Amino acid sequence: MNANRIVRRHRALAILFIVTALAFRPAVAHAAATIVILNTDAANVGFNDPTPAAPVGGNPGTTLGQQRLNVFQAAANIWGAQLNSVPTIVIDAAWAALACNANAATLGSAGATQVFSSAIFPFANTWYNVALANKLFGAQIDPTTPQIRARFNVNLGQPGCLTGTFFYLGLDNNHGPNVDLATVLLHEFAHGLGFQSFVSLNTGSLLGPPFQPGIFNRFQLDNQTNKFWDVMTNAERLASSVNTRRVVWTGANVTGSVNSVLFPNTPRLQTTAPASLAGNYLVGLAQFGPALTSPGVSGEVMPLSGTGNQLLGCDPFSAANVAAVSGKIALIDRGVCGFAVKTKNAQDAGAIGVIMVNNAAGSPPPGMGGVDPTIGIPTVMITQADGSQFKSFLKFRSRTHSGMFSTLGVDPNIRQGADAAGRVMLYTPNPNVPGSSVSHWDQSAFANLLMEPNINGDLTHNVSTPFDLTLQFLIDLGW
Amino acid sequence: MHSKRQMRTRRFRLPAIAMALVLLAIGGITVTRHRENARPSERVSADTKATAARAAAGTSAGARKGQASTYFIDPATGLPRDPTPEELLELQQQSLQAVEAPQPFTTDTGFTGLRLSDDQMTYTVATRNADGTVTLAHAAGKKAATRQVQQAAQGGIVAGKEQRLER
Repeated sequence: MNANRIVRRHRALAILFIVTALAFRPAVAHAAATIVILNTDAANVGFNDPTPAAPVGGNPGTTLGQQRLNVFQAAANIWGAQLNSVPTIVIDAAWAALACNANAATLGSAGATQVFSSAIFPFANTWYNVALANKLFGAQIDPTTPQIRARFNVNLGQPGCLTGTFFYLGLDNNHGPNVDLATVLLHEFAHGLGFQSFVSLNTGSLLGPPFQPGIFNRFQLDNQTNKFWDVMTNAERLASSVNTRRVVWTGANVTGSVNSVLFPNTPRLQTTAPASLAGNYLVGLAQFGPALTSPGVSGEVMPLSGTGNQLLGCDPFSAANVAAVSGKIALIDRGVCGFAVKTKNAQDAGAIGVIMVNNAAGSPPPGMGGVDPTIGIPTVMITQADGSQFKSFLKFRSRTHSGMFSTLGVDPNIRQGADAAGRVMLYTPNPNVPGSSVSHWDQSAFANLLMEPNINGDLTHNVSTPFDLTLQFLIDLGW
Repeated sequence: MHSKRQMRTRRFRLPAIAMALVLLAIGGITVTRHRENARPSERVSADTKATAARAAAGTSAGARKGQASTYFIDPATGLPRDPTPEELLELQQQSLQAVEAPQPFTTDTGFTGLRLSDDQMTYTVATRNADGTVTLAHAAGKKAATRQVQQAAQGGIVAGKEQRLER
C-alpha cells in the first residue's frame, strides 16, 4: 500500500515536472503538439531492458529498452508534428506480460485515461477525451494524470507468445513478417486522441453518468434511418451498431478528403429485375478468378437443382444444371467443397459468373479463398439473408429462365469504403465485434487505412492525406 | 433538482442491481418490491442488497442450489411473478450498464470528468493464420483480449481484411 502510494506520488510529481518544464519551452509557430512518453517501467524491464541490441531500421538504440522507447517517441512525434496543442500530452507507457500463447497474443492496449465535458467546449453536454479537452481549454485540466495510457506485451515473440513473431523496432516500416510497432502505436495513440466511441455495445448506452454522447457520436450517422447516434435511443444505437455499412462519419474534413485517399470502383452485386429485388447488395470477393470490372458481367441468375453435391455445385454439373446455368450467372450455396471447385464446375457448365450464398448468418459477406488459375469468370459472395430473398423469388423459375437479372461488377462513382454520398463508413459488422465495431473505419476501405480494425501490412507511417484519413478525423473532432 | 433521499436511493440502486444479477446467475435470489407502480426497469430495489447478502449466506430458501426463485412485482397487479424474458434481458442490460459505469467527478475549474477503466481501453490482438501470416484485430478491455487469444488458440477466430474462408 505504502509503496504504491509512493510510486503514485513520484509519478504525479514526474508528470508535474514535465508539464511545468514544457510550459516554458520556446514557442513554435508551426502546427505542433509535444507528446511525451512517460516511462513507468521498473528497472531492467520494458523500456529499461539493458539487453544489447544492434541499431535497426533507423533506430539508433543499442539496448532493447532504448529501442522500444525510441519507437514510442517516434510514433508520438509523428502525431505531435500534425496536431496543435499548447498543453503537453503525456502518455503513461509501460511493458507488461499480457495474454498470449504460441499462435496468438495481446500486443498491447491504449486509450484515453479520462473524458471531460464543459459548457466551454464547442459541444456542451458532450464527453471529450482528456487530451482534446486540454487542447480546447488551453491548459491541463488535471495536471497530475497522464492523458493516454499504453501497455504493450513484453514477451512477444518469445516461446509460447506468438512464438517467433516479434515487434519490429525499426523506424523505416521494413517489418517483414514481424509486427511493426510504430504502426501499431500510431493506431493505438489515435484511439487515445479520440478515435473511440464510448457507446456500450451491450446496451447501446452512452458513456456516463451523466449519460451523454462523446464528441465521436455527434458525427456518426445511420444513413438508413438518417439519425445521428447522439440523438438515438439505446435500442436504436444497438440496432445501428450492426447495420452493416450504413453508419457513416459526417465530419467535413474527412468527407472532403475522401476523393484523394479512397479509390473508386466499389465492388457490388446490382440486381435490376424483378423490381422487388432491384438494388445493390454487399459482396465478399474471391481470391481466384478475374477482378470485378465496370460495367461488369450481366446476366440472368439461375440456381442449381438436385441434391447433395449436385445441388451444392461440388460435382460436375448434371445435364439439367448445365441447361439452367449455361450463359447465365449461377447461384450456388456455400458448403462442403471449396469455392474455387464450385466456380470451376459452373464455368465448365457454361456459366458467365457465380453468386455464392453464405450458409452462415452475418454481414458483411466474407471473402473467398482458393486457387485455380483456369478460372476466368467472376465470383462474389452474398449474405445468407440476401440469398434467402433471392431464393424465394427463384422458386418460381422455369428450367431455363428465372426473370432475375444481376450484374457482378464495380460502381465507378462510389469510393471504396464510402457511401454513395461520399461519407466514410464505420465498421458495423453483424454480429458486432467488441473492440473493433464502430470505433474503426469499415474494412471495405481501400486504400487501406490506419484506423481499420485490422492493421494491414501495407500501411505507411503517414497519417494524413493523400495516404490516410486519421488526421482529418481528429480535426473533425476539434483538434 | 433531486432530494438527498432520492440521490441516496439512486446511488444504491445501480450497485444493488449489479449484485442482484450476479447472485441470480450463481444460484438465485429473492427480489422484493421497493416502490409502488415501479416501471419494469426499476423493479429491483435497494432492499435487494440485504436480501441478496442473505441469499449468498444461504439463509434464503431461494438460494438453495437448483432452486432459483426470482420474484418481480407486476406493476399492474402489485403481485410477485416471474419476469418475462424481455424483462430479464432489460435487467441484465441495466446490470451491465451499472457494472461498466465509471464514477463522475468535478474539477476545481468546473469540468465534469470520468476516469476511464481498463474496459474502455482498446486492445490489439495478433493471431497467426494457417498460412503463417499474422492478422491484427481488436478487443474491448483486457478480459476480452485474453478471451480472444484463447479462442484463437482453439481456432475459433476468423478475422482480418485479407483473410478468406476456404470453403
